[in-house]
Amino acid sequence: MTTATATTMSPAQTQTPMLPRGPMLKRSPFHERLAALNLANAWEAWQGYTTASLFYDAEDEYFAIRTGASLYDVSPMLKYRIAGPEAEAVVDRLVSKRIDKLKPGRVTYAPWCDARGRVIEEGTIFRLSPTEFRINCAEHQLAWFSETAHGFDAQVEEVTEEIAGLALQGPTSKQVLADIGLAEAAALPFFGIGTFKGAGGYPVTVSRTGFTGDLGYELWVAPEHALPLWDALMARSDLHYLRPIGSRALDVARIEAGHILINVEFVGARHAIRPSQTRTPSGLGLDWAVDLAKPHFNGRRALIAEREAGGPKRRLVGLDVTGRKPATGAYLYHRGREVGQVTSATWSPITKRNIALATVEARYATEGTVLDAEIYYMKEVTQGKVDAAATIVPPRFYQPGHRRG
Amino acid sequence: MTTGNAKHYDAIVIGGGHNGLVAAALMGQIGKRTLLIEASAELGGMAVHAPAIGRLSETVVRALALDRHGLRFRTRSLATEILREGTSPLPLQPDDPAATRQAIHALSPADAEAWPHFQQRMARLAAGLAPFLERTPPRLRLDDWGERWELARLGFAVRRMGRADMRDLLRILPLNVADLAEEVFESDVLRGLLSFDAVLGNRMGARSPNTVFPLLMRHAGGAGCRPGTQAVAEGGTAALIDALRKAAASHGVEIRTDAPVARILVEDGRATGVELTDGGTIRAGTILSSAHAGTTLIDLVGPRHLDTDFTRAVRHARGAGVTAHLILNLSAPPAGGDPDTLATTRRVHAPSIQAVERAFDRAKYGELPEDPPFEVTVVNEGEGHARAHALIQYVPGDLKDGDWKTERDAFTKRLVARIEDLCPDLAGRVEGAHLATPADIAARHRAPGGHWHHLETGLDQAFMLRPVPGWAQYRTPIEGLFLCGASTHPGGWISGQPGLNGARAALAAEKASGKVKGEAA
Repeated sequence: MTTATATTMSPAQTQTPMLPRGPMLKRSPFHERLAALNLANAWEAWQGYTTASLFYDAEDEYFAIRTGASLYDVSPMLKYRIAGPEAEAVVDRLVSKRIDKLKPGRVTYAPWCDARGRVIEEGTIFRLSPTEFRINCAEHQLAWFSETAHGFDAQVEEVTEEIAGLALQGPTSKQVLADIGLAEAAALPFFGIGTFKGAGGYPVTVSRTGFTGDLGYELWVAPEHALPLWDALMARSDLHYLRPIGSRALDVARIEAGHILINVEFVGARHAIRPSQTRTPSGLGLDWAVDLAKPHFNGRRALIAEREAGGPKRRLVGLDVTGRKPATGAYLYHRGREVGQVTSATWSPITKRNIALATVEARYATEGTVLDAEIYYMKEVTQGKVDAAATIVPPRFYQPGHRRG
Repeated sequence: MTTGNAKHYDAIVIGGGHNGLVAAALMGQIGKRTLLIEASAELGGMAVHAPAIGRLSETVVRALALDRHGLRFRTRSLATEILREGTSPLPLQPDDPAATRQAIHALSPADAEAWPHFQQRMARLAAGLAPFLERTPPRLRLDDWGERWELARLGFAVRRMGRADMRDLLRILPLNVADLAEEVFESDVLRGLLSFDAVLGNRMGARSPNTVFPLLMRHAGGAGCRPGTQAVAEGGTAALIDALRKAAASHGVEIRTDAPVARILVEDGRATGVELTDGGTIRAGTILSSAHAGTTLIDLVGPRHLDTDFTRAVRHARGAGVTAHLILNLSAPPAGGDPDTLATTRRVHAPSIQAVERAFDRAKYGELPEDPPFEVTVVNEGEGHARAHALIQYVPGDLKDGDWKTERDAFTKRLVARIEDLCPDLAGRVEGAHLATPADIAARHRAPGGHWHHLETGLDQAFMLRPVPGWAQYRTPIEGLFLCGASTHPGGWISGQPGLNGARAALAAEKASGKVKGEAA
């Protein structure tokens, strides 16, 4: 509507502050190709970038992730380089996992906390060399990372715009990579990373990581190599059922994989208005990513105190819900008392289960506990309500063996 | 790890300033084998820059029986002379209200009437604040009965002031001193004096917010002092340091000077000792640091042992000093005056609010003021020798143009000339001058910023917020490491209170952990 009006206006009038002078959202290095394929013309904003919600059919895109291969543009993801002689010490101070044990060419996943042990964010950490790391995340962290690096011989810089990223995920992804001359990258171990030269002759950094819980890789190139990489991959699309996917399909896959999402499962400690909305790693089911035995890291004292006090008051759990109505935003009751709420829910096509991630009072977080879910859904123009039984289960709903194969 | 003489100590106190000495003496008194280590060759720390004792805690004097260790007061009510251009100084004598009134009357009858009332008002309000200044700030944890009791006690202390005073306190506490001075007095010199007293030591102008609070702190009084005045020890501040040293020694405290600490040893979040710059390590279960909070935590402990939010708060605590110390060696005590009264009077040059504010403006931008306000005290050192100590307000540590290497001599000369100009009795007697800028003070006392209270003493860095919010109980995130210097509540002013409270906090923590261990056994 705005554009239609703008075309009839004189240049002077278009200068009014009410009318934007250019696109509000930046375009990713892959945008040209994505736009041509986005038959649904469905877009959304992600960290200042235009990003596809879906291309033609979210369900078909989902099945590409689970049965073929998928391409998801992860360029808008924020990327930080931490480099220098003491970069390792900085990252070790920052996150809850032992970074001195992380070898170059390896990736780890870890949360980072504030002094109260509240999760600021979590993300993957690439160790590119003994003295260079890259952290990928969803929210701006430059101030926090820089402050954490203060007093250390290390530099922190944001490199989001210097690197274009594509997530190549799905059972046939290994074959796709091999086809474009990256067979060596395809052979990377789970959570391995390396830089390779494919058929195109330009360097492609490949990490064996992803957000789908499936076999998959993330490919990182300089922006000028984005389109050649895309074209090389898509030239194989019909051979391996390789499809571009949008965020809707990805969200189903990530819930099946049990991956938490910031601003959905929790609010970052530095952004939360209400402290009650923040979580400790334990509360998010990330105990496995916290090494309290390692020397000091941000939040360690608070996390030890939490453990000594008997753990968090609320915990993140997986739910197996009866029926087929996704329990989106459902309240959870135990004998009529509200004890938690669903944060993410979906029908899981691959497991054929109605699944959800929820936060519940710690004493109900034990596996096998059955809670009552009050599910609201739209029944044309009125709201319908069903009661369903929700059984606490581990949140990793779908973990195919081939993802590590 | 331990080298050669592996002597074991219960406690190590870092820093041999007055607070470090107080903490060490108290630890020794309770029977702890205590070692005090001082980086420089001399004890006394920043106290050497202050001729008067601001707010020496009566509790410290009593607990350590400082009189038995030789502390004598020359006066407990330091008088003030307001220096005036081309005319005689205006004397304000706390011990002689009639004379003071008469002196001010010549200037302004209204101010002569207002002066004693204002002194009483400040004294009453300061008395209401006194419990806040002496006690360890609470942690605002209402689930703890001790904390509730403490809050109730503080609330009661304020309530006891009465409705009118409480209202008055709440109104003026966050105010700027210029507004208050203009409200109460009409003469420029009294307004200027008030402004000077409120800002001295801090990087604040007369019109900076919350400058009334530091003024009230001045009025809270010290050991036996008349409210609003300060004490001077017989023999100067050096004599206080000497008495503290003797008190510490009498309790078995071992003192080592010329022993700079390279780092505080931390193992699994617990302080276990110190490593000296010569490589030697000394172990102890309790470490008390009277050094600057930033020096202690960022330089000696190191960020890798601390949370980012904490180190950020410590790094950003305001503490850029703007007060320089000028020492003038005099060929002879000034003529005309009774030599005994010399050290019992300070002379203040702060002719008006505008003069104070104008000088502040220059310093704010890293420039040297044309005519900085100052305070001079002359000390007769006997045998015909005398010294003048001048505290020069609004001397920036970092200069915008040039540096101290090139500016020092000219600025020092300018200051000496101005002092001679305003104090004719000193003219021609100055044999030598030594200027310690905030940059010099920073380097000499390892206090980044060179602020003589370590950190500014505004309301936002006082009480529960000092040195940083959440850590006002002399504890640190490192178990067994305590702060006991001017960076902690209630700040500088040679009160000894941080040393006292810090030592008490260390002992309380030890007792609490002993109890836990005892229960577990």
